[in-house]
Amino acid sequence: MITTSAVTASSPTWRASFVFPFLLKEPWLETGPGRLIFSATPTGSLIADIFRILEQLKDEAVFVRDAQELQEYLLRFPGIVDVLVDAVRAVKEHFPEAKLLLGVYRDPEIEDRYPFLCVRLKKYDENFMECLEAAEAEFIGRLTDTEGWLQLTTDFKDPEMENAF
Amino acid sequence: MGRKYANPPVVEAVCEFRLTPDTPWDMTIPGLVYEKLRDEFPQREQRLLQEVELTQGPEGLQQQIRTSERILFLVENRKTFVQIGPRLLAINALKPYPTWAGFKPKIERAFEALNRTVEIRGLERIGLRYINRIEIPSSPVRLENYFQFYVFLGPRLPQDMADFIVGGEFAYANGRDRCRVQLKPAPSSSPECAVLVLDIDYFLAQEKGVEVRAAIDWVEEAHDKVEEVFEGCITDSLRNLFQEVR
Repeated sequence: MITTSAVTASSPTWRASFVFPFLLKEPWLETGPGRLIFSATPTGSLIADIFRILEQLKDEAVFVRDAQELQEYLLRFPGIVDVLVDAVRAVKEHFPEAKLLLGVYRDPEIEDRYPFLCVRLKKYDENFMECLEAAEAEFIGRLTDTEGWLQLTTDFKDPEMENAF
Repeated sequence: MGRKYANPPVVEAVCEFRLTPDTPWDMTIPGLVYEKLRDEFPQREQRLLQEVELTQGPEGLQQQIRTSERILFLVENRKTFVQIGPRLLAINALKPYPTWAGFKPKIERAFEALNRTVEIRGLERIGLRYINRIEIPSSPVRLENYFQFYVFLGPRLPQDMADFIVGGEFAYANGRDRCRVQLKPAPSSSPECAVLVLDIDYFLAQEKGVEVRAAIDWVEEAHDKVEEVFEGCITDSLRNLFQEVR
């Protein structure tokens, strides 16, 4: 953990945060009737887009693990950035109550890693796998034309359990 | 000539050209540009980007999601790439930054390829943006030890900040250009290390403020300004961390 040290009035300090802060958003705000009041537009910067999308996912209650490693993967395979948004949307449509975890899987046997999106539900009924496949079908086609991978999966755990993610 | 660092903090440099709406554009252009660049940028990929807009109308708030396509041409190691979309050209360099001497020729080449493919009628915006990820091996951090662009807190305010953002836009060339500077925290993978993002975006703020034939000269000038602003934002403590090469 980060330790706190005494500070003086003339020396403002800032302590490192382990979550994506709201500051990474880049909205443009304008007011007035019939006018644009918010726009989240992709920028020319890939890093800024990745920050914006990860922040958006956090707002949608997706738990992001290994943020730094995920950023590195997305920088290497930029096509996956946009697939990720579609994948989360598809999963939320099929499983509105699900808790989602986004992380990076490291294959222990070979030098390979790729992001995964893990779905957890309070109850897993007999249609669960069918729905998971239906959600995957909504974005998997885009992976065939894109370098990199995104795996949709589950571990069948209870999302409420302590330290679930 | 700016200072040189053995461990520069640049994680991404982007040079972006947005063309005016009167510039003709069609779906064949990315392919034609690719033909001119494929020897240096052989890998080709597509991104489908989503743009979200919220508008206030007589019937209340309305959300619109639009999708646009961008084609990426990447060099073999995928660290430098060209993005091309409707009336947009961007050239990106990821860490390790190839130095200005390595980056500028790629900008020139990509812009020239576009210029030979399309009749560019004007430039709506040009931007040269450097995103720096600065790791400071201590936490808490006294910002004024490392930066000359930071939050000032009066003595009656709490001094222990949980989060912050510092931003400003500076005017250049009689308001034709602007430089947007932001300093903000980023996630850190270690409790012993604080991470900050210093984002410097120098851009043409007046549509058609620069002639198409002068675009590359503008980029060179923008780079000088970005360097000045970067050096103006940091202290020698950071220069030591970046290991200045003399």
